[in-house]
Amino acid sequence: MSTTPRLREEDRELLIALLSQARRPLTTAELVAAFRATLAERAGQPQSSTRSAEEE
Amino acid sequence: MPETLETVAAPSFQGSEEEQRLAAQVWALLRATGRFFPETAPIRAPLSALVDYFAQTDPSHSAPEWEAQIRQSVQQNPHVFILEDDAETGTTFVITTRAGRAPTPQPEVDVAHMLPRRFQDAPPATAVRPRRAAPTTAPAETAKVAAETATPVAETVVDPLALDEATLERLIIDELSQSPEIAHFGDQWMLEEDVPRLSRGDLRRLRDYILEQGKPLSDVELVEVILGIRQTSPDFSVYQFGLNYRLAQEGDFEFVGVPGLALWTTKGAPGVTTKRRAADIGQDYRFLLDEPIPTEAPSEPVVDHVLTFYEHYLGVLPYDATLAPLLPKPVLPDQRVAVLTFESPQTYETFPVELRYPSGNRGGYLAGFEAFFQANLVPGALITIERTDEPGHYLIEFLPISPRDEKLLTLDEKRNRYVFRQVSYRCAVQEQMLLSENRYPKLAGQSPLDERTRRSPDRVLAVTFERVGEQIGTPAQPRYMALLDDLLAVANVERPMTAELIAQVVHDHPDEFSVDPDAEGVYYYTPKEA
Repeated sequence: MSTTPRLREEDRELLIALLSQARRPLTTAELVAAFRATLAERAGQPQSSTRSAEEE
Repeated sequence: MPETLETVAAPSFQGSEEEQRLAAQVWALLRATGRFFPETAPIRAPLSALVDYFAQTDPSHSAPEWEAQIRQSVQQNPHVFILEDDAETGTTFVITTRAGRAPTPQPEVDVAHMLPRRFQDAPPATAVRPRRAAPTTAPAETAKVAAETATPVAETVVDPLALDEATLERLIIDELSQSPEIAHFGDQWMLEEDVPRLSRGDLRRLRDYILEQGKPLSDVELVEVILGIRQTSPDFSVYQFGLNYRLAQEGDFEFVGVPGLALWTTKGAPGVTTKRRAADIGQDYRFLLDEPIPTEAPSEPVVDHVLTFYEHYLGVLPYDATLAPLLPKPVLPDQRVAVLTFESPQTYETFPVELRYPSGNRGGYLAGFEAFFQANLVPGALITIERTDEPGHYLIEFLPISPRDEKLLTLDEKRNRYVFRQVSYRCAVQEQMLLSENRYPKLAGQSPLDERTRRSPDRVLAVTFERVGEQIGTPAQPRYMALLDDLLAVANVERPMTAELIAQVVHDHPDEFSVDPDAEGVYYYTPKEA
């Protein structure tokens, strides 16, 4: 049994889209930052919020 | 299986930065485990399962350390987690909910005999406790079920926003490095289809240029000179990545760079040469593979080292637990060699050194110091090696002293005999490692051991006892006594031997070797009867 957590398929697609948009090499740190920023933007709220969208 | 994108914010965690980060990870893992649970239903996992997961994914901490850290982080956040001990099984559970709030313990109400239930359930009076994880925090049965569901914690799909930076980074690296449509080199990533290709002509010109220059060349130089792309061009980084990525797939080229400096060499280009074959030196250092290399960078960028006869003669240094943390890690997983530069400010010289990484059954070492050692140092010399801010560039220094003349051990290569020659040297030495005629007269005229004997640390140790030990037995039944310092200095004439290796050999061959139980550093050797 694998012991590694996996990303969701749509997250993987987002990473590919980010690389495709960049059209230049991205470092892991740049890619992670862009990935986080896009997800946070899609979630429509700051990451530090203590209440989930589902609760609301 | 694809899931819909969930937008759940992480709860706010308390404690130190480290505790907050760990608490967020624990919560994300629990949340992933119970991703189909209702918002307020308790999600529980055995603390031991979490400890196993963290210990496996980050072995820099031991399991007990992880357990202490997880407990601390969880206890710092009672609004998110509950720690529960199951007295029956002795298991500790960490419990939270998908909403990120600690579950409220529900009062146990016996509903089995309530009227509405008696109309619904048959037979009512013998109803057993629920087997599925129910929204309560206590029963032992649910704990068992939870233990089963919690075990796959590690293989679940996770919410990236709930992960800390390091975990997410590792996850992305794992995920992307398995994707054929993505090109990566070192720490950089690009879509494969966007990476410039190298023509056969490019490859030939690159190879010829490296051979012409006679040394490994940087990606920057190769892109500028051979591909004709200026550093000021907006596409320079794309071509630089393309060159590195494509050359890494070509059998004729070898990456010998370090983090921050990509260097390439090619088949037939001159490298560092040694008096012994590279593979044989790697074999000699095989015992270093058993030595754990610290993963953390040393706090000080300088290390001291006392030169042995073996190192001085071959111009090598070990890739051991002391030196390795100071040296660059391989950029590519299968990287064999990194070419470094060593500068000696005292002699105004800079020379290339090959860091040959451990591989298979060969230990790692640095090669290329032969001329520097022969010209400036003697076996026993104390040297310091310092890392600089420049990638792959190091300083090597020794402590200068007034000239000292002494008869020291050297190998007469023509006669293949050890001899003592008058040597004048100007470097500080560690006296115990200095091979002077006064200390080891018996070495004069001895021949180097044959290859088969040299390979075997126990045979080398036996011969070393005979060369430096005091015979305390009888002529018919000899027995030798020697001090560790002497064994260390003289065994290293033939092959690399550390004090740890000597102790290991003694431990593994109790029929021949023994340690004095009363005197520190005193060893004995009793030859086996032929």
